[in-house]
Amino acid sequence: MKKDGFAVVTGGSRGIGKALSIQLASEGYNVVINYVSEKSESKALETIKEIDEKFNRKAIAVRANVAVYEECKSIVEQGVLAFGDKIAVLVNNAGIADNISYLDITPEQYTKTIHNNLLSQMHCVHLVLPYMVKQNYGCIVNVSSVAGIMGAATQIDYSASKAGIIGMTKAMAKEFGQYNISVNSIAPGIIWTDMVNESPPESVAGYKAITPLGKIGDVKDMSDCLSYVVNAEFLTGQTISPNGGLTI
Amino acid sequence: MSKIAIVTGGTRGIGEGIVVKLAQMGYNVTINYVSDSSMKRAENLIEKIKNEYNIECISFRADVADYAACKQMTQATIDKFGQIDVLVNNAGAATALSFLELTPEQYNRTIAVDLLGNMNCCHTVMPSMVQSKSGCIINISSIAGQLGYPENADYCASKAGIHGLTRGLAAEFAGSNIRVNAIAPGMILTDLVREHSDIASFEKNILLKRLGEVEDIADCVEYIIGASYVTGCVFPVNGGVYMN
Repeated sequence: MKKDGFAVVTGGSRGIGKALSIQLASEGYNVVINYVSEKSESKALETIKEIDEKFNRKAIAVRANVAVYEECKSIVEQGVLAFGDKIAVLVNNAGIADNISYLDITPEQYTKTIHNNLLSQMHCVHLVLPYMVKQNYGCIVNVSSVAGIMGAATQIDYSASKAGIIGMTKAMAKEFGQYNISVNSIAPGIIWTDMVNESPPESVAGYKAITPLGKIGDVKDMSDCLSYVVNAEFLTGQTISPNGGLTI
Repeated sequence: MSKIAIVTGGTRGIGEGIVVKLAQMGYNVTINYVSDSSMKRAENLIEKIKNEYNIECISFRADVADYAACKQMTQATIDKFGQIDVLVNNAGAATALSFLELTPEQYNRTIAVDLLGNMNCCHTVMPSMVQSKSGCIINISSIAGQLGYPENADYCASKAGIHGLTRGLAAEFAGSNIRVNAIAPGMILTDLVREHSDIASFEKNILLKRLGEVEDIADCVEYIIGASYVTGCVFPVNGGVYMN
């Protein structure tokens, strides 16, 4: 059932984020689509147009580097300006990943990953929380990864950040339950997006080979999962992992 | 030949227990600390164990959140002892504040010490372990990394992050014969806990009906060091409060 208020999707202009933004719009939400790069701006504007045409919903695009607390503030402020002061759903989707051996990675690189993937989520929750507490409801969905569950070689920093999200999700669920705020995490397996498209074909074939369902996921697998989580009134503190059986 | 270990946050509580255990096992140890009050504790601890166990020890002051300081600590260990066989990442910080009250500066600091600090120490010792084709890294996380606790969102995030780090490192460096594991202690009776907690109410909720001792964690460290087929594991030592 749709809750009063708008939705925020960080990293919402492409790939998984775009699918999540569109899913929320299809369920009746106005959406704040955050993006960070210049080339994402045009993608964000396309998504806004699609949301308007297909679902008669409004969306705005807000440029912000979610690693920076002050920039996260602008996501929330612009959303409130556009859509009023009720925030129903926060989807923490923005994140970065790289593939570097721990011998080659620099402290600056892994620190950046932790800031972009873990601290960013803490920032966005920190900013929407007062609204959700005032409303006495809210739904927070933190996108993690199978890398956080099983660990990925040459993605140490990514694995650490994604596992951290799971721990954070559990604690927040325990703390915010009293305000009728649910906090869950979705940990996708390998999903076919630009990021995966740019990986070497051998690694994709490798993943298929160790996935019981023998295939790579689709962004629809993520948006279907989000739809379930956003509407699941008795679900909190959980990590749901649509991953073809990659981790069991 | 002597074996060498580094223990971060090694002057009290669980860290101290681990240092003593390593000394008993015949390790020379670099004991890391960060505060003024810990400097004296480090000196006393070194005095006690070097005579009792006939090993050598140095203390090294470093804030693990500071990469350069971690690098200096690793270098000082190699300069003094020649190699590093075991790294125990024990240093940690917590805030115990409601997320509404916690400031971004405070939760940034928790992540910087507990998670990034752990990554910093692993990063600085890894090249020498890879070169010797041998090493054992033990990350002390917490039951808070497995269960959520209210008023500990930052601590829970950092400790769960350590589990992801542990598995990623284990997967990446198994080929170099480097094992990486974590220990997730439950409630352990230390001075800090004794001062601040209602022990009786905790004991009620623990299956084994007692708080843990630092020796329970030190024993697990001893087991892991010798367990040559174990890597990428999180060992819950918690009296049954949470089962993996």
